[in-house]
Amino acid sequence: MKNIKNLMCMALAILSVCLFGAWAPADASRTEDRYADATIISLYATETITFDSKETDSKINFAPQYTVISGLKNACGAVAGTEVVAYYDKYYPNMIPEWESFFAASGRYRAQDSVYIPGVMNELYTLMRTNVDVAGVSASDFVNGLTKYINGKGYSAGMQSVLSGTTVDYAACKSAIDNNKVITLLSQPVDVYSVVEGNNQDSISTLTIPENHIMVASGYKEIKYYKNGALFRTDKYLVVSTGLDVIKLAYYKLNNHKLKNAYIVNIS
Amino acid sequence: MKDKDIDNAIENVNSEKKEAMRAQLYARVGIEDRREQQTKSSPRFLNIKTLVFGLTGILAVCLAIVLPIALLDKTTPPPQEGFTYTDAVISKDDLGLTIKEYAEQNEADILYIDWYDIAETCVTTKHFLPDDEDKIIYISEELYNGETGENVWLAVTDKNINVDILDHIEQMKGSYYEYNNIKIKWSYEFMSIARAYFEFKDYKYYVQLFYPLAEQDILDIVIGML
Repeated sequence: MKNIKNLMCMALAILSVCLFGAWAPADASRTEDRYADATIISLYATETITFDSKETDSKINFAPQYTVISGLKNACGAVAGTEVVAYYDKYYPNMIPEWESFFAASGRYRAQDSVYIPGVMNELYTLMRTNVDVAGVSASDFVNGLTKYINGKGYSAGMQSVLSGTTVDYAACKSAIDNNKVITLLSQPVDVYSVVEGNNQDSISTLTIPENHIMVASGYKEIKYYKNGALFRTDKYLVVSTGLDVIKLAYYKLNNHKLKNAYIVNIS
Repeated sequence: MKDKDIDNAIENVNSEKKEAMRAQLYARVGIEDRREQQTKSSPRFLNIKTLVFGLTGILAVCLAIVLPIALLDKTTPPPQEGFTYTDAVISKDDLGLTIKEYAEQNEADILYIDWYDIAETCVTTKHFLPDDEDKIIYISEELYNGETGENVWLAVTDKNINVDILDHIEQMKGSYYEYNNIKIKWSYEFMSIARAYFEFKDYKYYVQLFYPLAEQDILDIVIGML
């Protein structure tokens, strides 16, 4: 009887392992980090930086700020991808067939409409295999899906990483933005900021995105702060379209980033 | 094997004498009668008490996991004075009206940004508690100026309601400008976004202007509302 009990316990254990194995990720994309629904929360925290002087170096390319359409879950990859596609529609015709994402007169981007942008977002959602196997999208599926979409419009797409270990190549980011490119950021939970600049004081307000999330950077800002003639602090940011409601634009600090991947999107 | 042979031999004897003969023979050949011990020493694999306790334990664990999840959406309190809502738990949907139309329909003195004639798009959204669409926490409206490409976003709440993500706009460091005795707090983040906050009669107003063309464009918009 004791043997039967032992046998049954072993059988249960094997069954548990088999069930877990059937559920657990079986291929590469399922073992990667997943990027799904995200929120942005105010931390009610503001830092004030007092200085004698400062140097600022910044540029913004005014990328679109879209949010998820109704009916799509865990779609931050599709939202970010749509912002990338709409951004490059200004430089590469027919990236969005039969629609222009920008005002020809001002060069500013149009609002998220109810036909063409949802069409792109739905297509990217599928191409990125969103929620297939596991919730959200993996980095490889995000890249592959976006590349497939761009290829489908007759262009080549290259994703150039700006991350080496935990170091961000800020010079490469700057150069990309100076050359009218955007950078996709795949981040773990992170704080983002509002930066209100003053004559002798800058105010940095903190918000947090407590989930893995994908955003699009189309600007940079580097601020060097001086007191008594000495540099005491340097902050480097990328200006991001968050893909989230209300706070659609924020500053992503590179000094203490939580990036898992970051890619300059090169199109030719 | 000896004990098996004896058992087999005994099986052919009258059953009434079987046990007595078995005991005698075992004692003679020095074999322990293991049949009784085996019967006594092998507990039932599954008894009722164990089963009941086990099932109760499993049920308790399941309830401990399921109940908090099932009750999660029902823990959001109704709109009430001074309560701060987390935007993440608020639902949203198309209002179906502009803020101007909503104000007229409800005879409410709610201000709006009058870009309706020049806006390429106007999206008005109601933000409400998940279990009741009529319990509106705030209304937002986003307008794209078809002439300049500027994009302005406005949110309106009752004066007694706080939403954490809107509080972020209210509490930002900024400058103050007074117009018609209304104190307007405003800020400008170089070329990226300008924000403003003010209160008027029963409502609080939060304004964001994305990629402003000039630093004080936000003030012109707010003054236009007043």
